[in-house]
Amino acid sequence: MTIRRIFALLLFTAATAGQAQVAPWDFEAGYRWLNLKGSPGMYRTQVNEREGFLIRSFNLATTGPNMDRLVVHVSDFGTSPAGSLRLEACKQDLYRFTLGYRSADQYSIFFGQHYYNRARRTLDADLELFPESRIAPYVGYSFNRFAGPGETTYHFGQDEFLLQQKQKDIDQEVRVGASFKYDWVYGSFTQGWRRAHSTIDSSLFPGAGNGNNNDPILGQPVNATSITRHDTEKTKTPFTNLYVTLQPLSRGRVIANYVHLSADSDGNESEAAYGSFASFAISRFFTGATETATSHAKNTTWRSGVRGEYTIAEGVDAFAGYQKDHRDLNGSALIDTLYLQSITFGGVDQRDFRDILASENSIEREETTTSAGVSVRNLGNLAVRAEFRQAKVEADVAPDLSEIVVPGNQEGSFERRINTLDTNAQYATHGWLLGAAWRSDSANQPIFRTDYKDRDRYRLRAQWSQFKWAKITSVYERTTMSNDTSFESRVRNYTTDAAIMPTEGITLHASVSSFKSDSTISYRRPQTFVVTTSVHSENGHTREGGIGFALPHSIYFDANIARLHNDGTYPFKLNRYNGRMTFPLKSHYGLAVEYNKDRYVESSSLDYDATRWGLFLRIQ
Amino acid sequence: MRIEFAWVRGLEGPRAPGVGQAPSPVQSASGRRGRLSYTLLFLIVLSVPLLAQEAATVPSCGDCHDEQAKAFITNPHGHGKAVNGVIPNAVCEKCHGDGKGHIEGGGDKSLIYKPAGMAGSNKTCLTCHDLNNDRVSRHAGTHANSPAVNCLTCHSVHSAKASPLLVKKQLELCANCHATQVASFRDKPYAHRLGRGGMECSSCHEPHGRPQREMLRKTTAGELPCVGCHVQQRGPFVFQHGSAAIGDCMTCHEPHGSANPKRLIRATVTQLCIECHSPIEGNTLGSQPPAFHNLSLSRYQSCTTCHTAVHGSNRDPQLFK
Repeated sequence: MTIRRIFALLLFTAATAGQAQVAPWDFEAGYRWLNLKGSPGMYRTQVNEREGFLIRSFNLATTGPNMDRLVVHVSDFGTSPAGSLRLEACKQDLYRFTLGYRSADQYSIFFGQHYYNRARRTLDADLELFPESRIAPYVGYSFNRFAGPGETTYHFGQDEFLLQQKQKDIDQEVRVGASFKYDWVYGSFTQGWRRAHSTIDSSLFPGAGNGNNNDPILGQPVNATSITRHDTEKTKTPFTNLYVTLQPLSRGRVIANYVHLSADSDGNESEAAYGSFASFAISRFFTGATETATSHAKNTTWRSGVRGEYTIAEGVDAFAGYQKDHRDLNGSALIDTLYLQSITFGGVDQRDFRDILASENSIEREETTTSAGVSVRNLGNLAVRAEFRQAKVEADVAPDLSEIVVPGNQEGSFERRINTLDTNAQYATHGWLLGAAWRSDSANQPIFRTDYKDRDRYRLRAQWSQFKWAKITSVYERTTMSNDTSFESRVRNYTTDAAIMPTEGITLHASVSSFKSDSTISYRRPQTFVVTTSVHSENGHTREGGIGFALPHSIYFDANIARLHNDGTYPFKLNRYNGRMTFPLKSHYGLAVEYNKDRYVESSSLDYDATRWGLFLRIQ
Repeated sequence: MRIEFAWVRGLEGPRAPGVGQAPSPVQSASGRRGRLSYTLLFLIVLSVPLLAQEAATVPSCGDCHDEQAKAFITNPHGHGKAVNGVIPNAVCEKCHGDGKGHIEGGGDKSLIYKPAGMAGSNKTCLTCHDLNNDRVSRHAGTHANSPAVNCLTCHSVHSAKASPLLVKKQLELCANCHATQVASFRDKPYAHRLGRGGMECSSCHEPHGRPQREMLRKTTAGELPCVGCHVQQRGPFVFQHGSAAIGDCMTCHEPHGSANPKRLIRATVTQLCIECHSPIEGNTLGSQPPAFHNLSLSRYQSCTTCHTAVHGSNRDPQLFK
């Protein structure tokens, strides 16, 4: 959906609102200027607010013909990296319609030579009929498009080549179902069908034929004159879900769920590469290759469970549950590669060389979770909650042909049990809100090396608020993890927010936060087999403060400054300055002026300093 | 036989204590059906203006609470209940109790019920919204009704600033308690863009949910919410990366704000990969890179330069393409 279509839709809804009994609405749109110094790539990766026309907001809440309610919210369409439109319309007892549309422009220059500049557009529409009746049927549709250019690298013939890419993924989903309510039984049933289609076209980036490696391989230069690749993939995914709640007693209820999906994916790929290459896998030099690949992958997942909840007394509830998740992934691929004019490393036996790889893979994962707990919320001003959970994960990974090339530790059977004790308490009195939470996880063994064996998570929270003129919130969180594979990790977060309103119309706020992350784990250097330690450290501090005040004649002003310093392994600084002022011109018209500045300092090549000015017309 | 006017129909369901009766229905005795029906219709037609006159003599809540009454027409609680653009008193009385004394007392605040706190939520909100299903639990959830956190902590029926009837915009509201998470979104350089452009905390989390898996929402097919947007990572792939198949997105990514590119949990991709791909002790999943991966050379310092298809591939066992 283009911005013109959004604009037309807004005009239409505003016109419709004019016919209605009550039509409070507001609209703000204008132009933003950008002055960017430094790395545009880094700026677009992190912020991506560009220069141009922008619909900042449109809000409407009204009634209308055959509508008890029509609500439209629009935010940030145009040169914003993310925009959204949400529309709700309903008529009591007849229908309920929701429509959501989102746009997200995604830009990334990481890692190495990788880059993409792609746009995601998503649409979700749902229509429910007779929402108040015992059986309310509904139908829904979702659309997701992710497309745009990019650059990637491709390892081929003992070198890496830069490729330019065009990618287009379209994912659509249709779902029908019904919610039902009959006496003490209620729930919903949905049957859906999802269809995805992905196309990626890649070709050698102009001038990148020499690859990343300038050195010859066994005396032979490696370069490419042409590389083209075309990938397509189609996936069909029917799914079913059923949720039922039984509440035969006012105090007790049983909740059951069943979800099943079966995704079938078929892929086709064709590739042609020409130049001068080497391959250690076939121990030959060659002047080109053509490749075709067909593949099929299947993911069957189901989840089923039941849980019961019983209200022992007002504010006292006990609950228990059992849940099972099963995932079965199977894949097969037939890859036919023809190496053209290959010769042995010794320079003899010239011929075309065909290599056919047929691979079968499977991964099966099953997780069973049992839980029981109690929630007590009537101890005066105190509420406590405690829950115990036990999760058992079983995974079977079948060996694939990659084991032949890279043997070891890519297959096997794994089992991991995790016992979790999850507790929290909250106390509220006279403007104070105090909270504490502790979650302790204990596992018998890891599956991945960075899986914890013991993990403790603590959260302390204190909040004080006095009417509307003062509020202070302070939160401290700490997570520690460790296991028997020399893995140790600590993450600590601390934030204090304060806001005061000394007089009507003036608000001052300040925030201080810090995050620290330290982890160590041993690893083996591939080139020397020496075991050493991987150390990761983040040590960030943020100071943020701002002011907002309302002047006479409906003039509003907001400004804030935020400074983040990360002194960890890879230090950087990020300073942000924001200001916004709105003032009326006439009773229904006004202007808004915005100022934003982001200054990022990491290294000279990635630093940027971006200043934006915006001028917006407001109508309400 | 009982006839109700259309605007009374929406008032079914449990009522708050002290809620008054619905307006008097027109009643009729039984008799000969055909003649009676015509008589009844005639009486109804006659009675409409009389009733309207009578109703006009009863003060409306909106007479004093003008702004709230006007705004309530588009409030979800006012759907289809307005009559000639006016919300009937009975609608207000569902939550505020019988307003007769309050009106007769000249607006005496002590004579009207104003829901507040845990008790107020129990007596009003939860009489209708006590829904408990697979996603939501009003009893076992982390945000279940309590003195510290209750319906009216986050929602306001009359003074909502954001949908659905939230007292503040979602990011500000959640920051009241989850300040570290919100600071992470606000301050760190690599973060989902919240607050502007459609994403909110509730895009991924179910605020009324149970605490398992951080109260994460699921897609309609029961998957993590990440693949609801990032559909290209959903697969299935022939050669699936184990960390995605056995673990999940959070094995490698920090979904809130991060100091690391791609919201990874490590600053460099090589460090992230090598920590699992070093089977030194025990039975763990993840192979050791072959010896030619000389990490002292820049060529091997970014694993994804060659292993580009890190989430999974249909073509290449080594995830090269």
